[in-house]
Amino acid sequence: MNLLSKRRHLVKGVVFLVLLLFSTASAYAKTEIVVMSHWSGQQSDHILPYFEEYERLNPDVSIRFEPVTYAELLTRIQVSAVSGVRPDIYHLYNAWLPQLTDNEILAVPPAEVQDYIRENFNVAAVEGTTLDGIVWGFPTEVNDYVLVYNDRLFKEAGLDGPPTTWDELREYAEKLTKKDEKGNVIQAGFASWMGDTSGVVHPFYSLLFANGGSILNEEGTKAAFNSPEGVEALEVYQEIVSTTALTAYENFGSGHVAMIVFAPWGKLYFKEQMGDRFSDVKTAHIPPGKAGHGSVSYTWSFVCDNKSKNQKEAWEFLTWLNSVTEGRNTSRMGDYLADVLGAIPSGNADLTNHPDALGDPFMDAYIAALEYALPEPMVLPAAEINATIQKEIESVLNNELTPAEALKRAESRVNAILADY
Amino acid sequence: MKVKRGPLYWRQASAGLLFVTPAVILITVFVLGPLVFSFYISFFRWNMLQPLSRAKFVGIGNYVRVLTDETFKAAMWNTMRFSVGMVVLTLAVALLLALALNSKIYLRGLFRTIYFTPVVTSMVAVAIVWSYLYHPTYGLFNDILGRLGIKQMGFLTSTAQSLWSVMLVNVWKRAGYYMVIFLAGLQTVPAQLYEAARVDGANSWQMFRKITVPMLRPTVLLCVVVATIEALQVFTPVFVMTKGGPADSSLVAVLHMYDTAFSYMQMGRAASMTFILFVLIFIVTMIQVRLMQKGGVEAY
Repeated sequence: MNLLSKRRHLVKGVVFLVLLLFSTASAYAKTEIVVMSHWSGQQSDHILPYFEEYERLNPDVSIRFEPVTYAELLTRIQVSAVSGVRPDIYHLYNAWLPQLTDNEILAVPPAEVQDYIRENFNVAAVEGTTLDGIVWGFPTEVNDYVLVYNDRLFKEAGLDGPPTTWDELREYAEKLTKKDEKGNVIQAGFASWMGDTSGVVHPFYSLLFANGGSILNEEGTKAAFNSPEGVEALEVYQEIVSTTALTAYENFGSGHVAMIVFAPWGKLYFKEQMGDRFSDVKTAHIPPGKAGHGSVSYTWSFVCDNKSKNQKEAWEFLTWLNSVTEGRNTSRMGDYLADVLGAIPSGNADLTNHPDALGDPFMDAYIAALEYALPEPMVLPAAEINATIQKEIESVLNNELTPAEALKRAESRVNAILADY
Repeated sequence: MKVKRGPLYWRQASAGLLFVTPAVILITVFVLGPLVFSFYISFFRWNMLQPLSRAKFVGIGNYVRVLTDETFKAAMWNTMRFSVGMVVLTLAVALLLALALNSKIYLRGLFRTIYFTPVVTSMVAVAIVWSYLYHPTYGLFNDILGRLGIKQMGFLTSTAQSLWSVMLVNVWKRAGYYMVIFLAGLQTVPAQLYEAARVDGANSWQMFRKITVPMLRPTVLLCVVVATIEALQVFTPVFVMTKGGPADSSLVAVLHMYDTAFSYMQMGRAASMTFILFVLIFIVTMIQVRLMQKGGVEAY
C-alpha cells in the first residue's frame, strides 16, 4: 500500500470516528422520557406512533415505553421507586392515588398544567384525578360497566333482546347456558372474569349500586357492602354464573359466553379476537335494581414521578399528547382512546368530536351509563380491599359460601384493614 | 500443652481468611444484613416507599395481626397440605425412578437425562406450559378426559383442585433432583449384601425391605428435610399459575407475604410473616432431625 493510499484510509478512519463520536454525543444529549403503562400487546402497538411523532417534532427528546401487565403495574411502580430506577411518567389507576401521593411518589403538576386540565377535561374525570385539591395528572380513559352480550347466541336461544330486570337476567343466563352429554358447560349464559380483581369485583359493585348499596361508609372508614342490598346483589351474581371454568375475557370472544359485564376497553380485544363476528356484540344497561340502573366507574391518568429529572419535558410531552392543537379538533390521546382502544376519552373536545367512535352503537350504553355510574372509593388500602372482596366473591361463585356468609367475612376483613390506617 | 502460634500459623490463617472473606461479605450483605433488617422492621408499620424515619413502632402488633388474620391462617394451612403432599409424592416418585434406573436397563443414561431435564428447566416456563395443559376448555388434559368419557375438571379454576394441580407440577419438576440423590445413595449399598440375600433365598421385595430401605435411611431422611424446607417456601408455580386463587384455595404463605409487602405495601407485616414461617420451618426441621437421631442416623 503506498503512502497516498495509507493517508486516504487514515482520513476515512478519522472522519468515521468523528461521526461516530458526534452521533453518540447527540444520543447522550437527548432527554429520555420513560413512560410506564399497562397498555401492552396490541394496545401498545397503536400508541407508539404518537410517541414517534413527538420524537420527530422534538429531536432532543426520546421516549421509551415500558409496558407492564395491569396485574404487576402497582408492584413495578413501587419496586421502581425503591430501586431508584424510576420512570418519568406512570399511567396510573386512580384508586392507587391515595397510596402513591401519601408516599410522595408523584410529582405535583405545575399550576398551569392543573388549570389546563380543569378547563379542558370533563368534571368526572378531573374529580377522579383530584386528591387533596391537587389535580395529579392528565386523565386518560374513563371506564364504566355495562352488559355486553352476543346477539347471535341470544337469537339462537329465541331471545329478542337483552334482559331488563334482574329476574330476566337470571332467566336469560339459564336459557343461554348449554351443557354437553357429560354435564360440562360448553356455553355459559353469563361469565365473570375469574382471577382478575376488577373483573370479579366491578360487576358486583355495579349490581350493588343498582340495588342502592354502598361499598364503604361516607367517611371511608368502615365496610358498608354487607347489607340486604349487598346480599341480594351477590345472590344475583351467584345465580347467573353457571361455571367458573369459562371466563369473560377468554371465552366471550370465542362465542362460549353469551353475557358479560365489562368495561369499554374490551372493544379492541374482542374486535381482534372475533373479527367479523364482532358485529354480533351488543351492549345494554345492566338491568336496574331497587335504586335504578347502576354501574361503577374508574379512571386512569398519566402522572409524573416526583424524583424525575425530566419533569418539565414530561409535562410538556403529556400536554402535547392531550392537547387539541391548531388544525385539530381532537387530541392524539383522545383519538387513541376513542378510535383505537374503544375507551371513553376524558377531554371535553374529544367527547364532542369523536362522533363515529363514541356514536358507535357499542359505545351508546357506556356513554349513557356515565350519567349514573359511581366511582370506587379512593382510600389508602383500596388495592387490599378490592382483593379481599374478590376472594369472597370467588368463594360464592364456586359455591363454597353463601352470599351472606361471604359478605360477613369480607366485612370483618375489610374493617380490620381499614383499622390499620 | 499449649501450642505457640508462630508467624507460619498466622500466615496460613490469614491466607484462609482471605479466601473466605468474599463469601463472608456476600453472605453478610445479601443474607445476614437483610435478615437482621427484616427482623427489625417486623416491629414497625412501614412500607418501603417511605423513609425509615416515618416507620411507626407497633411492637408485636404485626405478629398479633398476622396470627389472627384468617387469610394468613388459610395460607399456612394450604402450605402445610402442599408440603406434605409434595414431599411424599416427590420422594416416592424419585425413589421408584432411582430403583428403576439403578438396574441395568437399556438406554439407562438417556432415561436419567430425560428425568433430570425438568429440574434444569425454568419454573416459570414450566408453569406457563402446564397452565395451558390444565386449561378447562382448551387444555390437553381435559381433552384426554373427554375422549375417555370423563367429565371435564376445573384444575386451576377449581377451589378443590387448584392446590393439588400446582403441587403435581412441582412433583414433576423436582422428582428428577431427588432421583439423582437416591441413585447416589443406592450406589453406596454394598452389592455383597444383595448377593448374600439372594443366596439365602430372599426375593426382590424382601431385599428392598430388609436391605435397601435401611441402607437408604440417611439419604431418605436428608431428602425429607430438604424437600420439606423447599415445599414450605413454594412461590413461583403458585404465582404464575393461580396467584393463590380461586378464592385463596391455592394461596401459600410466601405468596401472601409477597402480596402483603408489594401489593398492599405493608412491609412490616410481611416481615413478621417471614419470621413466623422461619420459626415453623425451624420447628419442623428440628422434629425431623430428632426423628433421624432416633432412627439411628448418628451423623445427624
